[in-house]
Amino acid sequence: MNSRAFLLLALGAVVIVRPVGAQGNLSSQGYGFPSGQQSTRVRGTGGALGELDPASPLNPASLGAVGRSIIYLQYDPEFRTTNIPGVATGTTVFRFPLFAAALSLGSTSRGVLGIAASSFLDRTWAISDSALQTVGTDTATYRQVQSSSGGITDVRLAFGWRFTESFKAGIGVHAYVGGNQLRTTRTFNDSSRYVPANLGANLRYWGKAVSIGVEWEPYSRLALGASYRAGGELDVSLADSTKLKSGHVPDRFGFSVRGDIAKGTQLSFGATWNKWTAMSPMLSNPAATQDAWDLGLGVETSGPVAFGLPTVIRGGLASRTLPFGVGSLGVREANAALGFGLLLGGGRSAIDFTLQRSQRTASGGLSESAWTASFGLIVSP
Amino acid sequence: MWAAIAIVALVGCNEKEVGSQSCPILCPEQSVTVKDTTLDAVVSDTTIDNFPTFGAAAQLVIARAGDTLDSRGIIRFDSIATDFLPVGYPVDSARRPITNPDSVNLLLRVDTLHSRVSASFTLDLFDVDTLVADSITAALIPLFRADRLIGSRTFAPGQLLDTIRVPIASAALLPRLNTNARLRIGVRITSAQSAMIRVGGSEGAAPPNLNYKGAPDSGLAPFAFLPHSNTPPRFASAQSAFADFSLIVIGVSPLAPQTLGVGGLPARRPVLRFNLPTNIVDSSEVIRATLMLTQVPNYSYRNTDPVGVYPLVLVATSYVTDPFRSASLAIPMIGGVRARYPKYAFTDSVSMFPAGSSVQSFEVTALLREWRLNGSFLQRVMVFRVADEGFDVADIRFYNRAAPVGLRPRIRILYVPGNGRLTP
Repeated sequence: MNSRAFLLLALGAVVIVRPVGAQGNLSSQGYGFPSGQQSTRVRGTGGALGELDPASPLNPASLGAVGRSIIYLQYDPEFRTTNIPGVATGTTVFRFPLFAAALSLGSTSRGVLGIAASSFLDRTWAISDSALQTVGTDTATYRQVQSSSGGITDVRLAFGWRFTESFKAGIGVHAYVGGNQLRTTRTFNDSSRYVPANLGANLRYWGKAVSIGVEWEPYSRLALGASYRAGGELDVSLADSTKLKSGHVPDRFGFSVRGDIAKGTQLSFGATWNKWTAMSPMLSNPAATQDAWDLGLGVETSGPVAFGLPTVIRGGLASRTLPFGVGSLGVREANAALGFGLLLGGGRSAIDFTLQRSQRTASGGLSESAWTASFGLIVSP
Repeated sequence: MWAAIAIVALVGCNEKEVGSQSCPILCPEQSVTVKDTTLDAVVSDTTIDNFPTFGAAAQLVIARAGDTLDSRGIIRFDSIATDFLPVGYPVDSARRPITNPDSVNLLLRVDTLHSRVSASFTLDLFDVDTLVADSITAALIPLFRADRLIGSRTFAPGQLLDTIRVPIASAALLPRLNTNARLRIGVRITSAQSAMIRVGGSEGAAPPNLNYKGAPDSGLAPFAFLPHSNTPPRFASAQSAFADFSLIVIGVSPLAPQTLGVGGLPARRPVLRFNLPTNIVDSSEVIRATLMLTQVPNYSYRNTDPVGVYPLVLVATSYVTDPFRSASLAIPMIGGVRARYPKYAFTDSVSMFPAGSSVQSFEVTALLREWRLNGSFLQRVMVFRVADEGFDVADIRFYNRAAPVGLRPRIRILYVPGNGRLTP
């Protein structure tokens, strides 16, 4: 791994998973699981606020609304259970899916420069299984651990400008970097006289994209945000630079609408379209990829004062199709989330927490359920 | 070269997929397939003679078995005392020349575990000192004659103890003391039946001794001399080798066509060079590799005694072009390298007997892994030896690569192809 990729991986999605006796999973098929690049706050509203949240690296225009420098960190452990008929297995995945920093420029703070590293596709999993294998006239019991670690990280450098108090615009350039360490270890029982097999490969990713966005408040109680990402080429290669396949970073369009429905209470709706099929050329089974809409509906309201600090309470529902299916079977995901935020320093910093329940299903009785606890910390130096 | 590739290609056609454990339904990656292939992968083989290097054997073999084996011992005592200090004389007294040596004998330390006598046997000692080149077998053999007999002793089988002494006539030693002060002894065994004794040599921990007293006086301590050679002059290491050695009059029989030999007297080492498909050795994970050598029955002396055959890793680089020197740089797989692999990943030795005719299998998985890891250094060559190389008469034969299909060396490899489907 070169130093650039290492640094970016370190800044970006860090995921740890321990191998479990499992039948694989629904969420990490293909090139992995899209975490959505959502902050804890956005996750608490079902993703509906994604285009209006400066900590989520989606709409560069939202940076213009920050008006100050910030640093944001997020931690998302996920506890999931995969079910196939007759078998249920659990997995725990620890993700650090998002790091973002924004630097306010000038005395008026109309311009904000931001950098963010977020998990675009997380392909980290580890499974183990044991079985009896027939080799010629011999039979041998083996234990096999297959694992993949790493993923594709979206590193975005963006600039947002507040033209007026009600209109902001921004532009971002994206680099898609990272890699996967693929490992398979098959250990046979001692009496079989087979030496363990250790197979592995290191994959590298490199891609680019450009995004633009706007945020507009036509009325004081209504905010709109929209962005578009134009994907460039995305390559997957071996660590020795041997290119394996090429595709494109998926084009993406998203919008969010937020309205005040009562004093201190906001209702939001968001939708995102991803052209995941742009990555089809990178897959051995292109049919497993499908374009998808993500839909989210959320509410955010002022909560009670806790420990002398103001709080925000959130809830949301979301639905989406995961980009990579099981064979030709698509995987649907439905989410319900509840969360709260604790505002610190007069609102300059915040601690957010969201608990999200996800239900993923595919045909054939395949399903996966997950609890994700998301912790976000935003500080303003 | 092209022939070798063709052989590998043709024989490799029997490769088959034998164990494909289907991946669980949601495994994000492909299943792991184990392939099984058997190759005539030996592209060249040869047998190198005369191991170990001259004089390096730890034991001397003194044996006679009809017309199949005749081995004698040569022991040189080139530095012996010609004077002595009589009993009761002060230590600074002038030493007196030995004119009447007493209790002269040759002490031999016997490896009773590996010696074989079934009837009374006689050890005859001959004065084999000569002015001609006495390291040449042809020059030494005629010296084992009656007029040079200097000592003899007959033993019953039960008298074969771990230490035996053969008396030497004092009159035989005296002229040697008066001329060049050295005694070179040839030891020969005779018996009504085949007989073999193995005695310690100067390269081992139990060398022979020449013992005698300077005079018959009671209380005089005997001299005890270890083997030593003053020739060839100026070459100390060669002198050490010539101190004692087995003189093989009749040794191993010539190799028949299509055979390889390991062990015997003098010992042989077969050298096998492999050409394995790179997609197996270099790009796959070999989980088991077994080299199979088919024995050619050899009804030589002691052909039912078990002997361990050891596979060796050639560590000589291709810069070493002398076959003997290269085969000498072959070592067991031991130490840290060996510790990286399970016990069953490499066969340390296989016990067999010369008259056997079965297929002998050597696990070589660890070696194939090392060939991949150290491809720039390790030649893909295997060498075999017996444990007691140079002093074990066991003579093992295998079919070589020119033998008919099914008898020639072959290697069975079970492997998991690597770098299969890398993208999801």
